[in-house]
Amino acid sequence: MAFNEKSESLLDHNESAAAERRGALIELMVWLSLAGIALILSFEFANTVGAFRYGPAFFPWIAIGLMVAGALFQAFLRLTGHHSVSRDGRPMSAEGLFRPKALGMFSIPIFYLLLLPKVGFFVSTPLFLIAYLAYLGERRPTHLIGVPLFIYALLLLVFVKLFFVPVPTGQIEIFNAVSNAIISVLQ
Amino acid sequence: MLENFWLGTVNLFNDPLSISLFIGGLLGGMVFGAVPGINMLTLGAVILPFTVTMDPTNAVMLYATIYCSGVFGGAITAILFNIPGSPENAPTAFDGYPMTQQGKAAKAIGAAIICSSFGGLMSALLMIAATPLIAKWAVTVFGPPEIFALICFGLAVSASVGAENLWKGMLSVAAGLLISTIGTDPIDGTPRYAFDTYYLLAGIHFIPMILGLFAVSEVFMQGSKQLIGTDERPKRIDFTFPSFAEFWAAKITVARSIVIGFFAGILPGIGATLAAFLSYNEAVRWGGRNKKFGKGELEGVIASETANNAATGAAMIPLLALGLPGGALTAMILGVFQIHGMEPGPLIFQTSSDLVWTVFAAMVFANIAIFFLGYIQTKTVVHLLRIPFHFLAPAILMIASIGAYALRNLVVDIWVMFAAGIAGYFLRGSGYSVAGIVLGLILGTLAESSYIKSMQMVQYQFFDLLARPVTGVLLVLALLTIGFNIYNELRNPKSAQSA
Repeated sequence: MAFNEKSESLLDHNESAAAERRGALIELMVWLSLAGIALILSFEFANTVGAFRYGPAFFPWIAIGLMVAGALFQAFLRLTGHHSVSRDGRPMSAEGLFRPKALGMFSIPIFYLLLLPKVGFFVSTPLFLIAYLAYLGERRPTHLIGVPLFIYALLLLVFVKLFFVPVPTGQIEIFNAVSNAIISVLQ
Repeated sequence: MLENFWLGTVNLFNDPLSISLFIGGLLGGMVFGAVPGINMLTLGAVILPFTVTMDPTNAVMLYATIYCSGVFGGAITAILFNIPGSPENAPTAFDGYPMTQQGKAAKAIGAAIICSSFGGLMSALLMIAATPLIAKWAVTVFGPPEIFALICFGLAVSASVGAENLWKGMLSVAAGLLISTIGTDPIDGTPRYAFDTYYLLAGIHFIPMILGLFAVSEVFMQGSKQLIGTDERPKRIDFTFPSFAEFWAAKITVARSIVIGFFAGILPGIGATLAAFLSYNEAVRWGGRNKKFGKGELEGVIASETANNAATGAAMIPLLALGLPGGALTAMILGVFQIHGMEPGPLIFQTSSDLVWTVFAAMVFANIAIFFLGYIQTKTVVHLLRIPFHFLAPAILMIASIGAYALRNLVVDIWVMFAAGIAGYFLRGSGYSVAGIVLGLILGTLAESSYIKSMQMVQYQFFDLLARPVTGVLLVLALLTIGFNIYNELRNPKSAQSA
């Protein structure tokens, strides 16, 4: 029994070490890719002659250098099994971070942003509020309609009526007309 | 001096219009400072045209009041929702929000109120006492090399805060520095990473980035935890305010933060944001091993809020004495002077003494008023914690979106905000520091322009910079800080698997 427990513990340990190495390599690749792209793009303006002797690419190269150094150091220490002090700990596990349902949260704001210039703030916002609330798990019809309505009314009152903050009114004619009608009622 | 202050006070409270503007500035600054994206700068920009019809004394007094209350206002949402109302409140969120998660929201807010009030009051009193002398010293001693060295030191310390380890902190700062180079170079205007788009030519504005990295990423993270059933939102709200003993224990932090805030605020162009970050960094450096900065340490809130309000009085010194704005809002105050055909400078103390002393009096009383108004604001705003997160989340996203759009009326700014929010979600979840990114972004441009001017001053002989005492000391401190942190990281024992 004790031997099986030890074996299982060793297997778990090896799996977690493999996952740690995988994570280290992925992060290294991401940072080096970002640095590489930034470096390649910097050659477009690096040779521009100006008032500063070292050129406009000097500071970006400093930042890129820091990025590469930090990424390599981190990867080296993690891959060689060096235990780095965890000051703050990670707020979420990798599984939680990349869970599809969690990633799906991003799609609603993206759809909202695609819709916003076309139909305007006044039409797209209530739809966004209802969709996001539903995605976060609200199912009660009264809350699903009532809460977005309340938030929407508050936003219009505070930002449009009181503070005159400009918001997109929409490029499509009918939605533009609706938006302008709402604005004239409010103001 | 006392007589002049008394005259300024009488001027302030003698006229019903002045009193109304004072109260309006106080409340407006607090409200606008608290709403992410719609900060005191938005308020300042909106009312600028209306100051044409105002008496210049009232107009400048109004802006000075907005400045004091606006810097404080952003602390409340920084603590409760991890959404700094303004950039200078960002360090407050580092420890303020974890305190909220631990059910100690009232303690954090109470500390923010008291420290903002105290820091601002001390700064206003110092401003009154030392304006002519300090202004001359700061402007003559602190040139581009000193500013560059100060920023290097600040970034070196900030790389060790808020991230899982030093390397992730460094990477975060480097990412922020790289983002700050998008746009045009500060000397010749050469486009960099602009892809021939007008939007990118202007650079990535830091407000959508801050909204995205702090507010939006926080909503995504909390939403994600809710979706996978690991929601940690505190249900119990503790109304225990910080005790006198807790403040007394942090007396050195308070005193240091006032000094840092005052001298950072006095430097033209830097203002409360650097003051808050520097003060927080110093609190971490001197805090000792027992402190848990980044996990809900009260001294973190104290350091940040004391310094950012201490910068307000100091920022008025170069403005009034030399006509150099100490930050964005003081630049608007310069605009107010110009609208009325006035020019701030050394002569203003002779030609418009009543204006100067009315402004001084307004700032003193505004900081006192924060103490009382802040408690009222706490009792009302803290109840927002009782609202279920999934009701707040879409509201926060909408407020942040409006704030990002209101900046330049560009939907692209909202895209930048959400892109930063998505990036922030993954970065924070992987142990990186969004605070480091923001610091690199905000200070990167200033660091680069200071460095370029410095090198031109010393004919590109870098080591001549070290001959300047303040520059030399700060650069050496920056190197020592990095070296010490690297040594600390490498000193740790290897893990069992490698044995």
